[in-house]
Amino acid sequence: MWKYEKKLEYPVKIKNPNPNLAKLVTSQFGGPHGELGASLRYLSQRFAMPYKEVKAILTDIGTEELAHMEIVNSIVHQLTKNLTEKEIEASSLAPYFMDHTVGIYPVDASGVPFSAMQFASTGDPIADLTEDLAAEQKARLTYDNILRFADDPDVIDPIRFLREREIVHFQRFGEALRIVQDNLNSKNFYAFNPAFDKTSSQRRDNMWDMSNRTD
Amino acid sequence: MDEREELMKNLQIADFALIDTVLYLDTHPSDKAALNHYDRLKKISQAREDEYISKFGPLNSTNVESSDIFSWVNNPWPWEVDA
Repeated sequence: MWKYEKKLEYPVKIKNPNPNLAKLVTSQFGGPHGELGASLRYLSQRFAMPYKEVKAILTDIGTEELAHMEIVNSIVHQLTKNLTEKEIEASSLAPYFMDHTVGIYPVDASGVPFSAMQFASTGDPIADLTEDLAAEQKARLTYDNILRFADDPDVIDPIRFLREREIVHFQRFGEALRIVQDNLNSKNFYAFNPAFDKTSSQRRDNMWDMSNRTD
Repeated sequence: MDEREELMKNLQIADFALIDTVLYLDTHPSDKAALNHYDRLKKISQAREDEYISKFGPLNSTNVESSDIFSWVNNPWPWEVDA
């Protein structure tokens, strides 16, 4: 279970609102590489993970992603505070405002709502961890793209922190994939699902049995 | 039910009572009787948690007793049948 702590993992204090930047940053909440998908992806994948070190890293990174979601939402919230109707109407945030005012809702930068299609959980540890490595790179590049457009140091600072964490997570997932592969038959890295198939030789026997069935 | 399962069940009971009391207090933050109830449950929950941790290891990643191995990773995890 989870217990909430009444603090951000990294502080967010933004003095000047900026609705155009808020519209871009919100993609890291509800977009394809966002923190909502990341947290749900890792926390869901745990159930199919046979190795204790990797159960731990999926739990702890999944939990940290929940904290990152809160940071991203805090940035969007502070960037949309004290705006006038005229300022909103003149900004790219106007279409979002129609349905959500300045509340928090998971969409990508172009307004497409969050989809569970974005959090892959396959029941296959090698597929899942390979997905996670890509996911961390995609989150990192999205933060890089935010940094291309952000000129406010109050925004740049927490975004840089989040970007750095993607790099650390990528490293840890690389180690996790290595742990999974070290537990497999070295000839069977990609042909065997340790969460479902009992042993690689048993799997081969099962396949052989099926192909030779006469009933 | 072995000792670990017994201690876990008792902790879950105490924690659930606390969780439910917190929801009530969120909407009634100055209710004295509820605050007293909260204080009592907090002590029970803390005592049960301390006993569980001392015998069977950490319940969160930052309360691991230092030793040669980071026991946080140990099985079973909560979703497993032997948890």
